Amino acid sequence: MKTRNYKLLLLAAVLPYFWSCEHLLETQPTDFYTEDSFWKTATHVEEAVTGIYQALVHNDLYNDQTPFMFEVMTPNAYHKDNFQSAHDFAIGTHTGTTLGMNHVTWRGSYRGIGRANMVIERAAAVDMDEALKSRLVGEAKFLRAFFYQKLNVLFSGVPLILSSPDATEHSATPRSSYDAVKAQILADLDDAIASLPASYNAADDGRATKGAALALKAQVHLQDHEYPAVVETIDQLNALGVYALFPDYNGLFRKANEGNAEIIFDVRFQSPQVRNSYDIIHAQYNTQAPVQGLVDAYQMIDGKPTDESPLYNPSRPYENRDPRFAQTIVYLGAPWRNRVANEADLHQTGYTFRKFTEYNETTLGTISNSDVNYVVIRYADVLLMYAEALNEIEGPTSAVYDAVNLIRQRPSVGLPTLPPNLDKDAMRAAIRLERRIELAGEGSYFYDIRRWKTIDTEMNAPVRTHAGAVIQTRSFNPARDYIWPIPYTEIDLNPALEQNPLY
Amino acid sequence: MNLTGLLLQQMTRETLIAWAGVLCGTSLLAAQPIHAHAGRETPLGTKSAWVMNQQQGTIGGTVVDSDGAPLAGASVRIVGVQVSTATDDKGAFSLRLAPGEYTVEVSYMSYQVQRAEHVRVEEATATALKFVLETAYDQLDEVVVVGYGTQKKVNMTGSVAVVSGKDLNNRPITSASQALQGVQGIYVNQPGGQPGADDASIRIRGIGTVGSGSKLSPLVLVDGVEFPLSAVNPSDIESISVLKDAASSAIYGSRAANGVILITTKMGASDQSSIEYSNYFGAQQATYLPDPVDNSAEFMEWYNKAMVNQGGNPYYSEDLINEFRNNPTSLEYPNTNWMDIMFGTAPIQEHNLRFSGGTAKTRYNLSAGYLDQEGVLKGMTGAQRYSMNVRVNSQLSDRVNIEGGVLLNRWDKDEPKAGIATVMNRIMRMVPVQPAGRMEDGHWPDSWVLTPGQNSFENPLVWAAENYRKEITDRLLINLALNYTIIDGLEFNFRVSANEGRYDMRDWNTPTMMYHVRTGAPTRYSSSAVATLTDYGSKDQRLNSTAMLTFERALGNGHNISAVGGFSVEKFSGSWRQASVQGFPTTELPELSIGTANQATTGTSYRDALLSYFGRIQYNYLNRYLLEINSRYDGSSRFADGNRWGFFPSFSAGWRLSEEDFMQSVTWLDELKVRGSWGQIGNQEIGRFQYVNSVALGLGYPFGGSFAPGSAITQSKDPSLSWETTTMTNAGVDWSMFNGKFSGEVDFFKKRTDGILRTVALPSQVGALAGPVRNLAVVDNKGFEIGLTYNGQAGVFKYQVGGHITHVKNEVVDLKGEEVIAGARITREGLPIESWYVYKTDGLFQTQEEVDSYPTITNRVGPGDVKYVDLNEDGVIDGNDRYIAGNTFPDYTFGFNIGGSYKGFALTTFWQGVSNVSVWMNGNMAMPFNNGAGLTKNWTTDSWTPENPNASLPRITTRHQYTAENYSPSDFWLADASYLRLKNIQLAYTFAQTPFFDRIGLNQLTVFVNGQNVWTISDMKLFDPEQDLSADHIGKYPSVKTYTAGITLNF
Repeated sequence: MKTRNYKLLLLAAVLPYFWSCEHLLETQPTDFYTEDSFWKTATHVEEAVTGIYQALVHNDLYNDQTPFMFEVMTPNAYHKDNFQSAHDFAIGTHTGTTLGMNHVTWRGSYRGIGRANMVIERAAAVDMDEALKSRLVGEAKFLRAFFYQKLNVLFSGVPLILSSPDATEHSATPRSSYDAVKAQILADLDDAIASLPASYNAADDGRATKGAALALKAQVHLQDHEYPAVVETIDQLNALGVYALFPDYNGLFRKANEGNAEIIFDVRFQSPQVRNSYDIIHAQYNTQAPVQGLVDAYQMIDGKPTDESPLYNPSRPYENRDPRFAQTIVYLGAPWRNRVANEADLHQTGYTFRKFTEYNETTLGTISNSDVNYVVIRYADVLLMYAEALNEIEGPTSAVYDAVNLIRQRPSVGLPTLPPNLDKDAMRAAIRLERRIELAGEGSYFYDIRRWKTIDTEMNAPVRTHAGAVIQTRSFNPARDYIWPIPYTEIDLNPALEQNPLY
Repeated sequence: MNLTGLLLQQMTRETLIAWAGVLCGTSLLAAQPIHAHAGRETPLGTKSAWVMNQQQGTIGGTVVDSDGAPLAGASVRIVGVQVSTATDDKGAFSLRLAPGEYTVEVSYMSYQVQRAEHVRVEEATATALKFVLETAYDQLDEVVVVGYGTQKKVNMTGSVAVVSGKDLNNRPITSASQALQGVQGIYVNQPGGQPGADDASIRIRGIGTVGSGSKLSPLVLVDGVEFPLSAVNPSDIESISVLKDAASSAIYGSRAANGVILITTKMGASDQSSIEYSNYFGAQQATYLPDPVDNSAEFMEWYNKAMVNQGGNPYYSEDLINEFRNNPTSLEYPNTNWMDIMFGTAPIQEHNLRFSGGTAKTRYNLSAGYLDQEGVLKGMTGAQRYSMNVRVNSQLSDRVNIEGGVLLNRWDKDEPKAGIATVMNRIMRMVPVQPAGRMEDGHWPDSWVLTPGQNSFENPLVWAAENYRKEITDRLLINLALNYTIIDGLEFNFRVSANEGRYDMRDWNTPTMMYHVRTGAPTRYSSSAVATLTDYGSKDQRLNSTAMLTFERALGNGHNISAVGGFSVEKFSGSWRQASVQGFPTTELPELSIGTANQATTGTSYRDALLSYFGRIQYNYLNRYLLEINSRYDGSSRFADGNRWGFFPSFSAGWRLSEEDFMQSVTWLDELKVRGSWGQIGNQEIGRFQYVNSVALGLGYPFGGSFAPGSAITQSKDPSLSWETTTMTNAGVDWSMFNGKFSGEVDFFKKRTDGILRTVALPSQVGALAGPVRNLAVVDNKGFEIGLTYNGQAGVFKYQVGGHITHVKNEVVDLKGEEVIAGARITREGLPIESWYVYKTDGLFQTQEEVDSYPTITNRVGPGDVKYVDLNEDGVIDGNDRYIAGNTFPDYTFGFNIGGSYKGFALTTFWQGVSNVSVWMNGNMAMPFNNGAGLTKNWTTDSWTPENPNASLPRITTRHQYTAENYSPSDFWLADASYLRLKNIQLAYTFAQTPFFDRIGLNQLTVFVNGQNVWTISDMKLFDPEQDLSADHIGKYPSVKTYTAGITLNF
């Protein structure tokens, strides 16, 4: 080849290649929206609202062992590992630098709050069906209230952030007062109550409803012993006429009965996209183990406590008990998983929770795709709140009896009604026991004993295995422990956060 | 071809001629017609003897050094003819040749090559020659590969370290990154010896930025193309240049902030051809493993003690402990030492074959390598590497030169399905009561003694036997270049290259039932109850095209100038996809198409581009005063429009004092040069679209039984992101004296990185968003490097001692007033990046009175617990009592070589060390009973009891349930990870040339034995001190020591 030809070849090959390359530097993401391309259509708003719900299934809140760790911080259960520092909280050795349940709850709740704030702020400018928009914003407000209520009870006053997450604006926001946060929660709930439907068609089942907002509002008032407001709110809930107890106590938690009439709000899972670890936690690992104190609290089938009932046989302690016992707890010798539960299965205390698993007497092998829903608020809970509030206002009237007896006489439970002529204090005790039993393993007792201020005595006692051996002695400092320490890592990042007293 | 000599020996006279014709006809070199006169008394072994029809002559002689000492093993070759030999013990050689005129070339190690031209050989006469070799101290012609070109070493003004491929000969380094160990100014840390995953991390002159992974790694180019080091066979390396200062690296602009490593692969030499084969075989062993309590009764007693100490009750009953104590070891009563079970000696072997050579106009290299390494973690780890490298260079005409190469590398790697990190974590979690091995019926035994903290017995042997992860990593580099000399001194160069990678991973696990050791009844599945197959595949491609002009001219009167200018376009693209499936009707058929349930797929793709203009101007006057400018203008798709382009200039100058007239009287000084440089380089290594406020998908939630798609913003973004810029100044002196016996260099540098891209941690109240990446921080690295080499000789014994030390002081200059606390590490202004930030301790509480009189971290603290110092004296122990307790990155790194040779023997040693660095080991086995794990033996002898008040460890408690009291991050647990280690020792013997070698065509035969990581001095006893300093646990693949032996043959 002649030299000249080389030159021409080179020019031909090289020059076009280097010219007009600048466009190569323009790249567009292919696997996510940008904020500029989002918030345009109703679909975007729907997706963003779904994203708020998704914050519920994060390990920080309702997946993994986290929801059940609340049970471990009560006299109901024990877990040998100090997972999420729950031991430290249970035995009172937690300090200002303890990170665990306080941190995941803080972070998990603010994740949801941030997503809700964004919907509430950005949906306004989206051109879409106004009715749909109103409902979606209502869902976001319910969820924002839900997350703030969790934080407000546990930490007592937290940074109150109501606009889209902004690193510059919100990184230094200090804590608001308990009352200010509460006022916002109630305002959000009132908006949600106004814009949410009482129920959905099948395709939207599982979304926040008017009833869910009312039930949460009742909880907010009950937390501060505002009994008339509790009663008034629950009256509104009852007026919706959509809730009833599900006849099968254990079945109400099962996948087959998802969305049954007792469920007011739950966290949903669905394999294979969103799984949880509830089956493996309770059945294979036996991590959150019920302790003897909870078992002892179950009445006999005659409605009497074990130490008064002639039906109680210390050598066969699990016979003739409140039927909810065997529907809630797996005990040694219980038929379970096509065999009889043994020491190796129930290695911590001799018990495990049956609630929130799909295992039954005949299950073979192991379940690896758990997707049982976590029930956050159900109608039985509301009935007991109602009874609690009403008893405080007017004593044990028939309406109080009715609410409790409805639960005791659920078809699959069938306990005798409460004895007549209880005085206010005796009724209060009966309601509290009923709450502990009915909601055992559902994380409610953690809040209940704080609200009742009984935690001081309940959490200064040992917990025992089925054999009576002390496995842990709980300790509670009433001057400090009603509220949790703000995670110190959050204070490191935002020094404007003031730590709670004595931490 | 010389091999033919061997064949011919065994052939009959009749077949000889025919065979010789075939062989030579197909040989790479043109051979003459053959007229062999077999039967004549000609020694067949003498080169070419059998093809000559004339009486031969001899060239003989001696090779000595400048002191007259004979040089044994020097290579003597006849240029243009395939004849060569080596000198014997007395430095003598002899070659038989056909009459004619020849050029004889002699070369030996670090001596200058010498040629004798026009040597006449007459029929049947001997010609005697004497070669006096000069030490190659004044390597005026030594050429160093630099960015987009080569440069004479003496004229360099930047700081460049060079490694010759020869330095790596025979060493069992399995990854090219290990080849950089021992290079001045470079900290090369090789944590762990997992086959196929034992790349070392390379840090050049400290850590210039905050981040990890590729953000801290130097840019690596192989034959001019960006390419991963792990895909280079170390045996293919001809040379490595490490561009350390900005003056050398600025020509690579936005990717050069962490330094640049240029690798040149081997190429043949003109007018010769050779076949080289080398191998080694060896064995590897873990360097450090923890020494666990392996007696079950003892383990259970210590667990009970821990429970009691922390206020609990004994867990294991006396009956159970006695049962174990009174029964001999068996599957039912195991006393398992899991370290012994899981780790052992593993074989390693490597083979490399290379054909290289060329004619006057064309040179070539064809090589292939095979490495087979089993892992010391037996039965589940191992890797094979297959590599091939083909390079050709041809001078097509006076003006046109073309060059091309194909480099192919494959790694086949075996791992357990759960991944090595999980498996190592579990191995460190095993306890002696758990049975190893199988039951008589072949079943896997479950552990009938429950271990608190472990939900079930996750037997790693089952993982080794019943599931796997197979990884295949292919990488291909294709490189084509054309050089066109437009006029003398002006060259045009055009290069296109493709770097393609493919990675395939297959995970397969089958359900494995465990059985009760007593009853034989099935208990549970070891892990999943369903078979799952996951196939993952990714690929990536980099296309590069570079055009440049090179100009070089002596302007007369001592002025010399050269320049390079060009532009380059680089396109990157990649994608990955994953598919998994369950529901296998049989576990015999592990393919995606066989599974029937839970099919899931996912994947994505990406694209990037980099446009660049670069240039260099060099000027020198009389080779005495040197000036150089390098710069690059880069545009990157990683940034938003407006912040996309960055300019990276550098200037450097040098003064060769030794060339000055006034220095000519200083005869002992061979070379003295001072040099200085200033420059800026960039770092674009951040994730894609960090400037875009993104709305993440895949955050769905089920409503009404069907799954709804969900989106959310999960990270806060900063659209004004731009380059990180590193400004570096360097001053240095190079010298060589006493005829090259003593040489060295000293460099001082200051490196400041501005606008460091850092992910800001946000308080969770900001929607629990991941923080934005911002140009925030400023970090300085200041330091010096000193390197010294001495070559000595005592008679025929020669030795070389060399060493270097690098000191880097890292300091965060500006963090916008923030501080970043990540666990026990803090990044704060005025301190090195990621300093330890922990409690101060003052030994152990000895008495209850002492406990009562001092603030404690919780109310459970008792005698024998760690005493945290109330530094701020506020009466409580909390986060405010933490202090800066040390470095997580060494201040000093050093290495040295000591070697010597005596006749055919050569001994080389290479030592490496670091100092002033601490580690915190805080996981399974490192701390007692962590998360259900066991404990090491030293707790049984050296933990606090009232009877043993001077113990070095606190009273025994469990790591997981007594965390705050004894195991909070504190200086009590910081261990000094400084070390000095004999990284490599090698003894080689090169046989003197014998007639037999000649006869079979052998030019060189070397046998060697080699040890890697053989000896270490360190305070760290728990685990290897050369480890991943960012991981606070010992659940990592152990480092290995390797002993090998092998041969090198050169035909």
